[in-house]
Amino acid sequence: MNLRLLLLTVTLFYVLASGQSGQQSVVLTAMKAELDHSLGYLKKQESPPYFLSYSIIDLQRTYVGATFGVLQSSGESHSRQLALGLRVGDYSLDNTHEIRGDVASYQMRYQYIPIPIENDSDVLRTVLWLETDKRYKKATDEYTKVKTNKAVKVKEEDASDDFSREQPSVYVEEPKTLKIDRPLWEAKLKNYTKSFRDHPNIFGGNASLEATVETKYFVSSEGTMLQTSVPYVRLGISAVSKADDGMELPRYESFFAFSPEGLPGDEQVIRRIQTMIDDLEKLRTAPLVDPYTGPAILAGGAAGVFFHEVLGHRVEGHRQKLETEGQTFRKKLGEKVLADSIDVIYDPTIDRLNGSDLSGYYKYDDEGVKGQKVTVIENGILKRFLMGRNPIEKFSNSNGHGRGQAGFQPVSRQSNLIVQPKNPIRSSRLRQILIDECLRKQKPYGLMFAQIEGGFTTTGRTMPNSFNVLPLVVYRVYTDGRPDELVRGVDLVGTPLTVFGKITAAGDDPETWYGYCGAESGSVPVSQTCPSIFISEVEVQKKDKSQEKPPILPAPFTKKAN
Amino acid sequence: MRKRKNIRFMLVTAVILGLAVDALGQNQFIIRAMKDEMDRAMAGLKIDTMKPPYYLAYTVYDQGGCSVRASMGSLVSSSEPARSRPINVQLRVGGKGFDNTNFVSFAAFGRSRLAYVAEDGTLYSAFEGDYDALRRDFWLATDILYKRALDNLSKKKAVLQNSVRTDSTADFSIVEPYSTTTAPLAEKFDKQQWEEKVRRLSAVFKKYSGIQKSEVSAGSHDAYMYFLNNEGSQVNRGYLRSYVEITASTQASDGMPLNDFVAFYATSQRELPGEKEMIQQIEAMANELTARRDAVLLDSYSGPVLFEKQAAAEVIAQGLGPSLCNVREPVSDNAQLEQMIKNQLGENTMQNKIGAKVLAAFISVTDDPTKSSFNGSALVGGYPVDAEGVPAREVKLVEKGILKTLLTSRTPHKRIPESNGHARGLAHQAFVSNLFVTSTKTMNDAELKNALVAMCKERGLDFGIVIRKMTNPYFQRLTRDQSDPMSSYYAATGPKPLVGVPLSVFKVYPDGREERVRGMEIVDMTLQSFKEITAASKGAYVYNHITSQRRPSYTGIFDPQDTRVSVVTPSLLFESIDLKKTSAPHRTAPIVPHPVFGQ
Repeated sequence: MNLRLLLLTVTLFYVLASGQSGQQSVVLTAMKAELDHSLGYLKKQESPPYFLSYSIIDLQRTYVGATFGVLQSSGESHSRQLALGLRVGDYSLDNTHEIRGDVASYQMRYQYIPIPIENDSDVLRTVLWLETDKRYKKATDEYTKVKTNKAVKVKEEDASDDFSREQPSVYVEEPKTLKIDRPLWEAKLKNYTKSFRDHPNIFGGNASLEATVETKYFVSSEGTMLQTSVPYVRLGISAVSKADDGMELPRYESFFAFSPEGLPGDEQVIRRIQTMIDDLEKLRTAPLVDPYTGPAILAGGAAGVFFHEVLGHRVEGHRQKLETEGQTFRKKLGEKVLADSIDVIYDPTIDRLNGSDLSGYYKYDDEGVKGQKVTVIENGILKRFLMGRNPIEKFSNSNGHGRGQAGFQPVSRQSNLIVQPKNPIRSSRLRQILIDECLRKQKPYGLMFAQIEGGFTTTGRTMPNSFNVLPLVVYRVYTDGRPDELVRGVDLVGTPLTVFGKITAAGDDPETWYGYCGAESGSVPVSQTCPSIFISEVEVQKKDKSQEKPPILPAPFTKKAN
Repeated sequence: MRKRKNIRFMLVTAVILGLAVDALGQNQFIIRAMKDEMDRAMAGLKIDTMKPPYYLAYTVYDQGGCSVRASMGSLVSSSEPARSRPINVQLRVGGKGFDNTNFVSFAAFGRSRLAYVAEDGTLYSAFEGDYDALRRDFWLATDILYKRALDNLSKKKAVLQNSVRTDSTADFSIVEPYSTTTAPLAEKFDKQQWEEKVRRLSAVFKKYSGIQKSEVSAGSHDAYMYFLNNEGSQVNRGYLRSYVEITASTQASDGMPLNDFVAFYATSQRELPGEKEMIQQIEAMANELTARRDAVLLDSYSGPVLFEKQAAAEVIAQGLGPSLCNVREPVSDNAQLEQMIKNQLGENTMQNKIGAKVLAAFISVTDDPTKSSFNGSALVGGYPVDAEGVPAREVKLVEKGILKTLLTSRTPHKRIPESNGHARGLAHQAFVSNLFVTSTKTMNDAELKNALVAMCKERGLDFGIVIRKMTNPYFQRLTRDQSDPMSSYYAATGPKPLVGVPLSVFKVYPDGREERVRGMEIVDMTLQSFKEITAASKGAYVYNHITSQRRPSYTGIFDPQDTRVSVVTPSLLFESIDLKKTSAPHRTAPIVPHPVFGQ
């Protein structure tokens, strides 16, 4: 008897030891202990859970903010948040199933459960125990509703299972640390934002640094046991100006790296800030653009945002299944959606590309599945979708893209987006293609989108399935050799399938952009690496603008710039 | 007298640095920046033919503090001492008789991206900002608010043009300019010491197997406020605030949720009770909560109710206090919004009752922000000058049951044209400070209980009810289940009863025997009920708490003037109150035994 127990522990230890570099922490041990304890009792219930997972996200953060050369904030925080996954029913139908007709059912599954930041097993287990009980009761309620809904509604178009079966993973690494010299960064950020002071038309000029160690603990009843830790730093610069007609003109720059040393040096940051200031000063007096249809180039960063919004959100797997979704690409599988020379890849497994750290990197996703490289579009043909553990027709497994912010139920989300042309064109040549196309279409000019602030997209059924990208810096490129002219007040609009058919060339100048992407599972870090692209026809409309006049009194400057 | 106390206070507490008035020293630039930008705005802020502002007030809060939370001996969160500097601008266009204020419109929400100025006129300035940084923020905030004010003034005129005005009360009252400067106070926050303290206090719950969840949160803050208006008032003064709040919750065997709390509020952290006393009170609460799990249920009760000590103070604080403040119903160009605000303001029958009997004839009520202690117990609701720069003063609200006046800010009431120095918080709304309830007819505690029993006999009831502790909206929010925020959000939007839920309720039988009851709600308490107070105790209970109006962290601003209220009241015997068993649906008791205590 004793021997058997001993053997069992040895095997368990062996399993844990394989493929790991660190010690299993008190947190992980407590999670596993309570999972077994609670599940042992719940298994005896009439509708027992078939799956239970605990995830704890530990965030240790240092932050510094400065505005116009003075400190706005500076501090440190440490928090831990718990999220539970509990499923009643079975893999084919469970409590998480979409309840048709109930808008709230899928939209926001959010739980806010703070859990102690110290490692006392008894205290951690007490929280896990109580929350498991609450969640179990909620799940059984949901399951009853799901069964009724299924009975009273018509047959669903996609009859896939609710939860995929995956190989359990065990991986434990030591929590990382991040050394941040806060006084140094306070001085840096003050210095960066000082230059905004000399410009009376810049109304907001901020810099912020966020240095985080994100340690994730995950255990599930399927045997998955993970402890991963990633340090990262983000530096953001923002500035805002206003034209005399009231239009607000924002500019952002963001930098990302896995260590403070990976961020650009002061000189480079200050140069970028100077460009922001120059752009804004020029934009204030730039002419307004009229609605226009014609050829355009999207520079790397702008094209990245464009791909993220217009394509990315439509290849998220669960959207092909939800009955409320437009499912733009569902029936396009195996068909050509893009120029055949272009591949679109999502790869969370790489942390660095072309000399830039990638913020969409992770070893395991938020459902405990190993991150995988996914080629969504190959030679212009739509091959597959980004998948979490919510299976869809033809795709019964996750490809490691189940993601969510702490507290949110994960759904399929984007990671590191890479747009890869097979035969890239030199960017100067791309410009000539634009001019040629304008001449052919008898347009006096084409548009060149240098910077995009972000965008939004509606993928649902009840609203037109369109996108709206918010460009910041746009130039008219004239066919008659006049210099490029900066314009403002442009929104890039359209429907996704049409516009993708019109991307006919891509450049050799990939740029990497970082952002946080917001959707129903919260905000997740993503990156986009994309070259310039040429679109034979885009549509732009007038931007909705603020009706408020610029400040009546001039800025209260005590000293003039020199 | 008060002065002497201050001097002693300064001498004993070495941590608190009392600095001389002129020692604002290096912070003089703050006042200079406020004054220079205000002068510039008053001289030049004008669009076309529209009116310039007639009133402008600037406030700067220089504040810092730390807060820590722990549960069962483990830290849940800990923030380091962090400094911030919210600034506030109040701007009026039109004239005192009719201006842009007291008007709400949907268009007012979210406009400029140049600077984020909240609806109450608050903007976060850089905590380390210099003269230039402050002027820049005041410049932008004033500009944004001036445009908002013009917009609101014209909309308000438009709405009222086509409606019959029943109320022609002025929008703003006249006050004498007032200036005062007191020395800054600074307190050293020892984060580590606080962390250790909350670990120890929260570890008390480790021995209570019947309690499912508990938390101790504590913190200490300091602030210095600079206030300046264009009428010549200038107030510069410092504050210290510290707190320890303890919450606990569990379920009865039938699953009924039960919770309780203890809280300590003081100015300096040195003024908080000692750890031993805190632990005693935490243990008393934990014992009471544990005992409540096995309390009996009672379907309903209609009859006399004795509110003892804390329960009497909560009934006064939640039921009576807010109705003794002047409330102006805002004008709106949107019927839905107007209705929403009216619902939030609730019933305000006191507004028209000046000169009428509102309480039992032996009861009087006074509000006195100038007091800082009562019979040796510290009060936390006081202040020397209110948020609009008006000196604080004692106000006799109810004398022998007759309503004499209401608490006012500079927003007048149709029968009270002047401010009585009760503008509180960033919204500058009239609110209670230190509220004193006194009775000319008193009994000792035993007599009071006998009176309850006698009244029950008279009504043919088998037993009477004593309530010893009540919750309030502030703690209801703290103990709300956060694991499902959406459902608790919807649950919170129902109609609001006058007072919260009783926590500690007992049946009292004719022989004096008591029996604990759980899960009762007060169903029919109205302002009318206060006329039917039949007796009061000899002793008065001092209750320091956070006003139920809103949480300090709601806006992220540690607002030194707002939120803290003291109530001093005897226990009160009400002639007739209806109670019923709560009908709120709840979870069953946990299926799985406790991982540490077992079952």
